Amino acid sequence: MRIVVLFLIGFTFLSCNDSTDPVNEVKFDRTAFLENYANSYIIPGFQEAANKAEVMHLAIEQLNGSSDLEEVKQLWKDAYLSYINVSQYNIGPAEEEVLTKSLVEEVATFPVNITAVNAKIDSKDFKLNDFQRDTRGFFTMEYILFENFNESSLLYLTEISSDLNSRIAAVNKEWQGDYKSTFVKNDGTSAGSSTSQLYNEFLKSFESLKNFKLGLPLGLRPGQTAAVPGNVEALYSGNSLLFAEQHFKSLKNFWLGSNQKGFKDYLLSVEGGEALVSSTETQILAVENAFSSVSPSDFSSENLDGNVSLIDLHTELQKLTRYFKSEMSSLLGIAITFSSGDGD
Amino acid sequence: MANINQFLFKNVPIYPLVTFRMVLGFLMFVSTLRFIYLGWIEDHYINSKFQFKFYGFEWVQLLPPFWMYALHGLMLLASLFVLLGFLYRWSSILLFLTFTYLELIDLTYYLNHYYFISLACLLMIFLPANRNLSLDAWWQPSIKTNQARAWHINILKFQIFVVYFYAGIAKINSDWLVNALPLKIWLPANDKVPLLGWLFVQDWAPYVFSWGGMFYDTFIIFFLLNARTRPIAYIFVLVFHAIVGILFQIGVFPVVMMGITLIFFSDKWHLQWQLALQSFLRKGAEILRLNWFKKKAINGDLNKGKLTVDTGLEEASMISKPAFWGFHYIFLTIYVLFQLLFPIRYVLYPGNLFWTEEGYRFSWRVMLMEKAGTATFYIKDAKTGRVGIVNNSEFLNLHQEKQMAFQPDMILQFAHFLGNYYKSQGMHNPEVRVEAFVTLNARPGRLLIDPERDLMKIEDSWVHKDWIIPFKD
Repeated sequence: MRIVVLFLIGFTFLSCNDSTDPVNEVKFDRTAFLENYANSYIIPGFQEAANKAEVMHLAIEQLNGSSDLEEVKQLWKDAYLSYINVSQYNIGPAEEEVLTKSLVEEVATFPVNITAVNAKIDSKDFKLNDFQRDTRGFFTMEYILFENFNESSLLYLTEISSDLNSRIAAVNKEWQGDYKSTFVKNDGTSAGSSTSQLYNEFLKSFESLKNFKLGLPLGLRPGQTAAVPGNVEALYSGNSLLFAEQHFKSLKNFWLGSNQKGFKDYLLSVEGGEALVSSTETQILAVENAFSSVSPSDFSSENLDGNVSLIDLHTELQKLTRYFKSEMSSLLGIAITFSSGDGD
Repeated sequence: MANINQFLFKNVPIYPLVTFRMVLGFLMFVSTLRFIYLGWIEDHYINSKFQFKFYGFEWVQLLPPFWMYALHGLMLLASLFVLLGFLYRWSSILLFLTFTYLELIDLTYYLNHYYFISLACLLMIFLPANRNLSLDAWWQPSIKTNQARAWHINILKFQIFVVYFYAGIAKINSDWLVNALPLKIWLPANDKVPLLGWLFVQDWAPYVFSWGGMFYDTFIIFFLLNARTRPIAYIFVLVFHAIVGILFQIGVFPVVMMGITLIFFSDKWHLQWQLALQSFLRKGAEILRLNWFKKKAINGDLNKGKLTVDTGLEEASMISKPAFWGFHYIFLTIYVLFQLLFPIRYVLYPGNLFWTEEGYRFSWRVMLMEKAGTATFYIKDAKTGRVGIVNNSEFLNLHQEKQMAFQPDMILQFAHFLGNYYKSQGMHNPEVRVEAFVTLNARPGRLLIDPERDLMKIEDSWVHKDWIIPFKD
């Protein structure tokens, strides 16, 4: 036995000396990585989104005639554009709880259920906590501002604007307070770690851009026989392309990271990472090219069905999926579910 | 022949078997409680729209929620009864059936260790593990014995040997030994683990752990079998499984392996701890009796029976062939051959085993590769020609989708499910194709399945799957 133990020990040392392959030379500091996402992305992002939402809400409260409606429309657009940048961070204070869904579902559900919205407006019964998330949030506001603005709908608009404003403000407040340190401290890679949660939500956000903002309205799901123009994002303001582009830009910036502390640099520090980063960057360019040949009118109900530019954009996003979905998590060793793996 | 008779029918002390029974019952009880506590009944069996079937066990169905809870309740009861040795034959049958049924419901959750537990529970049905230190032997003294036949214990040792040995030789491949993959991925991801984290980011660590793991799995049983090396070997068992338990999300299995390898300890060791347990229980019972029936207590009782234990350690050399020894030969031979041959069935298939996974399951390949995929399904209406792209998460949970995306037989099952589903939704003879990009041990993703093939026209079988695109490095 002693001989075998010696042999084992000897062998392991021998194999260390053999290992000249300097794969993990760059040690990646995941704590600094999380801190950077919090400081450069999440906290300023929610701060900005909360500010814009508040400015919009104050303007709506002042809204009486239709004179300043155009200004409010612009403020709504600004508020949503800045919310897009944080729409993927449905973690911690923005996470789903027992009675509330994740923040993105609470404030950015579309398409709007017009029948239910109108019923609420008519009945003056504004229930803000029911399960009809398609009767409030940014896109119900859009419907009222751009399509159905009158004295009685203004009452409802003010209510849902206040609701949206306070939901974003609450999340912002948590990030300004204690949540940041909770987030940074949870620096492992197992399921439930901050890295795993960030990654999962990034992926979900990417999938929602591809599937719900493009695939579904384009009628690309099995069983669909035509496009569904009513399902595009920002149906009433005609901002579908602007918002989709902003969404992709925000996802891309997240993946790139800043200060050499983002997912891209994390990938560059692990086995097989360089090849993946290079394929991902090539495909991101392809998506951006596809975006550049789309025009805002492609989303309109006349042009949506069989729209070649949009289908092409969807295809390019589809090609990007595997890099984000399986290859990134595999190389980084991020656990995405709590279920037991095949143990030893 | 005499040697074989020795190996199978020699009278040996029953104690290791009793320990094994108690460890198995206890761990099954604890792990079932844990499973329920973590809400996995809901995750695995209630909020489930689709289940992947084991080949040949398509008939195993998910039951209504009440029965899923009831099955777990029965399993808890059965494992407790096995621990106590109560109505043992029935409780061991119940434990095997409930556990195995639950495992067969969804292939997604297949683990080699679950397979091992199923096999161990199956074997236990045929072993007289309740004939000492059990409730059965307590109120039916006629069945009590301190002897068992050698095969009762050797078959369990053999099973554990198979698990380790095959897990060890499976690690003898170039990715594992030369490139230290997948540990080069898994170790640095654990750099924040308390105490050991710094170790995992060292350049040499993946190599040391890869080689160490291979040697450990391949040889540990030999050192456990040898009385002189056993203590240090068991320390290796503890350290190895503790580290593996820290590194990976693998639940109770490290503790299971630490518990079941106790069977290799000496008869004397097993007897000693069981005597200690008995005297502890006796004293406990006595104290209860003193408290409850104060007047009736007789001091002398405390010492009664203490020194009269017939250990049976001395008589352990006689061979006594059972009445139907021929059956024993036949069934044991079949079992042993199956266990030896089934794990190496992969040699009958062409191609790279890690890529095709033809013969991968049920062969003790544990934590052996890092594989992940993204599978996109395209459904074509044969009449209109319109093609739709499936959103997998409509039908599968995260874990199901993750497991499906790199395993050809699961991809095929899901394809058939999709085809039939959309047919029921009114599509004309749906054709189902898949674009599955799979990454194996940090290699760039490649197509796993021929994206031109209509999967609805393919049936799963034991035959080589020619619709898998061969692996190229």
